[in-house]
Amino acid sequence: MKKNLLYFFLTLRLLNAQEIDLDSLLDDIKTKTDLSSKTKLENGGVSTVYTRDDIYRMQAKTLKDILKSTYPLGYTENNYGLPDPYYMGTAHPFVSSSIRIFIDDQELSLGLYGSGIVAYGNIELNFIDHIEVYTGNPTYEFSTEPTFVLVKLYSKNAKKDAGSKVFAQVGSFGDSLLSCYNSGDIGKEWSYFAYGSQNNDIREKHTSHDTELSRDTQTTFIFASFYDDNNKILIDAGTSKKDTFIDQSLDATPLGADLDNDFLHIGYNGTYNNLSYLLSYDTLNTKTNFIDDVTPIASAPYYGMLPIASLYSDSKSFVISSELKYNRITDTNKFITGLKYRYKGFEYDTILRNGFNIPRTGNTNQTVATAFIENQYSLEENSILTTGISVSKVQNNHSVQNDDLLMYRLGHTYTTNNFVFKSIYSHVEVTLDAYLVNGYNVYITDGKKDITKQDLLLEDIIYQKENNKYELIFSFLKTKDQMTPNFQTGLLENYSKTIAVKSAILMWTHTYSKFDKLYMTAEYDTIDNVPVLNTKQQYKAIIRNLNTYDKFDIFNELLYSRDSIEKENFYDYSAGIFYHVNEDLGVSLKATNIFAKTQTITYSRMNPLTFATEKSLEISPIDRHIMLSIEYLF
Amino acid sequence: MKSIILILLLSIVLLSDDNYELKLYQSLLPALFQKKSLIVYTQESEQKDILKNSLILELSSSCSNSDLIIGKSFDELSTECLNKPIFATSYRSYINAQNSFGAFYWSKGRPQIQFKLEVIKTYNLHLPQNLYKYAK
Repeated sequence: MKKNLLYFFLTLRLLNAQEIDLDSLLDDIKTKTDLSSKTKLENGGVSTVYTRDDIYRMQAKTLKDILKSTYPLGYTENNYGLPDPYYMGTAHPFVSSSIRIFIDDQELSLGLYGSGIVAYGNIELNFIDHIEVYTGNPTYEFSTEPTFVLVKLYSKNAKKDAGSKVFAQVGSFGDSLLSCYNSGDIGKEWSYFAYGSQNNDIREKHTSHDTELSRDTQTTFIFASFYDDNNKILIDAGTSKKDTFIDQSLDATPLGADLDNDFLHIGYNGTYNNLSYLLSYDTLNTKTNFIDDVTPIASAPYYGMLPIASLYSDSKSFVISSELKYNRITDTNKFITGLKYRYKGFEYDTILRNGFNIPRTGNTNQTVATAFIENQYSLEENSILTTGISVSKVQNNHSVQNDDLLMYRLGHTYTTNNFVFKSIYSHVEVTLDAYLVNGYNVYITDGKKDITKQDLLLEDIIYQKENNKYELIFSFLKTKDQMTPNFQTGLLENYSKTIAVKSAILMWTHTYSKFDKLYMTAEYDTIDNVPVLNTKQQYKAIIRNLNTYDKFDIFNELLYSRDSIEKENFYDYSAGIFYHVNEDLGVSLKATNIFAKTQTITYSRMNPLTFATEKSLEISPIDRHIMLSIEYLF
Repeated sequence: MKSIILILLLSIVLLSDDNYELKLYQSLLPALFQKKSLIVYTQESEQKDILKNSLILELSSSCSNSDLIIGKSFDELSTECLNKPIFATSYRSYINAQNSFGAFYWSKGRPQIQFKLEVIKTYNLHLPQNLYKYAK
């Protein structure tokens, strides 16, 4: 009787039409049924997820807006003004190859530099639904090559974004970004998403000895995806012209520094029962042109090659990636194994340095063959043991630099009602990117190098109760044989000491109402055996507040950083307001680095005649910038 | 004791953050049909996943004894089901299916609800007054 009575009252509640608050329910569906809840790898290491709602309300227009506050990356630009989180203050094109970038399940890879971060590290986000960043050698499921940090971008699709959108933005430097997309169904099974943009990214200018340094980039970009429940085809292509900032100028006074890129990615991935497969093709054609007001030294040991007065190069590279994976889920195991093969081809049509035609090394391709096994075993309902091993054979066609790489990870996840404890130990081995192999002809490396080895021990403790989530991460990372510059020869060499990084970060997320969220972090890192500096301590903090009031979305973010070298407090304060004129039309205003006091990067300089060290340039990758945007959905 | 567990389970299903679509169906459909429980037929695995935990909406393997059909593709329905009311999960199926009385779908990045008044009358369904703003 009691049961019937209770059931009756509950049913009565359901039948009461006045209680159906559909507007509120639709709001919940919009904000809480994020696709990231379906794509996030629960045991894939330490993850930071930016939901569609986060990206939209942060007014994040390019990946830089996300990475600059993402553990453990931050956003850094190298001598060429290109994204390079592990930048070491040298003129090497790119040193962050263990950070990998994906769109959906397909990696954006480059023939010469391995990781696509250098070309896509500041990619536009108007076609992206959500972003997941994994660290701690997260999984072997996705990447063919050694990966320490995985940046996964998930594109929008017709299921949620059927219709069209146009977006226009102008900025305080005269910069502009125009983009549009259209999405819908093709026939009964297939859908498509198509995006195009024109980005005239004019940046803040800096000077060095009265020479203006520019990082401006003009990019035309298209992205398209075609998919059904089991198959996906991705195409992205673009062309960009970039001013390459300092480039290789010793005293940071280039007369001209340009980089032209044409890039294409086309890939197919699918699933059939327990099998999944992928085939993709990436290509990058690059022309660089650098001129400096210096006179090369004709005598030994430079023989007219240093300093660089002019450098012109024309290169073509491509990557073919293939993989086949098998997964099986039982009551207690989630098992996946796979084989991957990647072919990277590249050639320099021209390398003209100080007017001399530089002979090629003969190395024109690098192959990577990988096999991996991963398993998640449920010790108990709330206790999962993760094990994985991956072996790769890397071969270069005209070099003794052929390496066998071994990677493994052991993880344990234990959950209680409010707590999650994740423990991870991982080992990663990284070999030379193709452009570094036999790099003696362009004065980058010389001879065979040892592989770089990274060992990570990490503990992640998450406590979640009601509308609060606390996360505390301790990590200890050891890196052996890191490729670092020898400041006497200028060449990259294996570093003789072990670099050790100890980190602790506390994160707090407080959702104080349906549309209001506060996010705060405090981080401390200490790095031992840093080349030249020896020991370095870093302190970082973030306060981010997202609010909604009536038709306004308001965004405030403050990033704080300080280190033991500069001993200076840096603040990057960004704020934005979005006004929803109606459901389809919105206008927004955003400013970054409002205090003009954000963390700078040290760009070293030396006198090109005497090679004496000059005062370094301190320049931030985050400009003091105001942007006004309008968007319309139809 | 059993009734408490039953209520607890029902509350969890109703309030679960992970299943807002089910919450929507469970709020909406019993009110429209004026029944405390409904028999639902769907051919689509995505909808079966959503509905499998419901204590109010019972999944049926045959559409002949169902109160309604939920989904976006109805080409392979048997002839005996051609007159069943349909709750569509895509705009295209909502427009194309004559029997569709309502739909829940995403468009322009937003979840959308729509009802066809004419079809609702045909099937003698009851559209609560506060939901008329979603009807055409």
